[in-house]
Amino acid sequence: MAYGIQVFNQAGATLLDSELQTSIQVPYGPTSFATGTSFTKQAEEIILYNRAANGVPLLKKPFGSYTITLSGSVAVNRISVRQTDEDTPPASGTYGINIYDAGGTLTKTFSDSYARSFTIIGIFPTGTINDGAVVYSGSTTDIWVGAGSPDWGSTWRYNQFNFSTTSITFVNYINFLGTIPMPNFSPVIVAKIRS
Amino acid sequence: MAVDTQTVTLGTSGNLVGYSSPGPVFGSISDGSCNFKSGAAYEGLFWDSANKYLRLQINSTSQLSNAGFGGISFPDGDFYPRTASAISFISYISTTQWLWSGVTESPWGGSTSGSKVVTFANDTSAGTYGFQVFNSSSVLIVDSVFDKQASAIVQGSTFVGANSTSGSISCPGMTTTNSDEVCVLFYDEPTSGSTSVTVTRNNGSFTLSNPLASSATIVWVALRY
Repeated sequence: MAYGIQVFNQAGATLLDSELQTSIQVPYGPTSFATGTSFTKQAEEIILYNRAANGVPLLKKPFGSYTITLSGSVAVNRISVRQTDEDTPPASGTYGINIYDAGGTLTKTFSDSYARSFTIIGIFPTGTINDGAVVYSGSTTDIWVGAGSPDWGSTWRYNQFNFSTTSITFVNYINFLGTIPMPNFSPVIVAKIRS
Repeated sequence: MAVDTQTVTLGTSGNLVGYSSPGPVFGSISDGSCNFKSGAAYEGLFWDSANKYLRLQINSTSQLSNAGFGGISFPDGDFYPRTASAISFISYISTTQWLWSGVTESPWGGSTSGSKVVTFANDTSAGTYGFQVFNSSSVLIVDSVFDKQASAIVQGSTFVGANSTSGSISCPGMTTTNSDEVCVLFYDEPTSGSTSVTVTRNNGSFTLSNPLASSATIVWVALRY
């Protein structure tokens, strides 16, 4: 590599590669997302959700819009996940690692302004799970999930989740003379926030 | 530094998930011999979802020492240091047990079946790979020792015509089969009931297919995780 850092584990898997990759951060702590409210996400960030109450939060993010609305009666918590390059690191007083090229130009920031470390437990690629699939089983306290652009209507639920204290189930169906389960239209991500 | 690696095929018995041989018997382990205890047999590694315990049990005729054992790493990034456990000898099943209390979340990542690879660390930090960064509140913000850090390989916006496929998008490290390591996620993508954007994986690149009757700009990121 020309410059930067690379970190491998003992099995040879790449942990960090400042030349080819940019780290992902959770730039701020969890935010309560109340029913009947909405917010606008950045264009290049993923929103993950965590249980605040049991049930299915009715989330909607139309294609081409970055405003996410929560309807129904089930609140959730939310976090943002995005590249560190999307944020300007604090000028001083923070912890982390900057990578500079040979000319002294800052090229990558790995940890400045990180709020939490997180690890991805798994990603279900498109078409690999169906409505009703348990994407996580166990205490859901620190577990966060997300799936592309969620949508819902009177007879359908797309890219939604059913939260309980002990499991999270994927919800993706259309109701036409009965419930028709459907495979995931978008990758489903399951992550854990470190504390 | 890892001193042993075992593959646990998960089984269950009531509230217990993992592997146990003395009874109740569930799950299995391979190769089953403990490198840091002279090849003694692993007799149990399981999580109790009701009592929130994690138990490691190794066959012995008297209580083993802690020497050589620093903790266990699980596939989803959790690390259970030996120093946080309580050691005891259970004579009626001839086993030394390390017990972690207050384990509220499944160390198996919520799974109750399938195979999981666990790593046993030495009781010294020497030779451990990676680094950790803490903030001023001592919250762990980067942990490459036990977490596999998610990284963005490349991200962007791609215009794809109706019922069309994009040109090749470079993605170093992607192969046709490593979706468990490199995956494309969408910041914004069109869906319409029964159709979705399709990612076709190649070695070092991928393409996006728009199945809809209208063109779309797809915003995406390729992650290594």
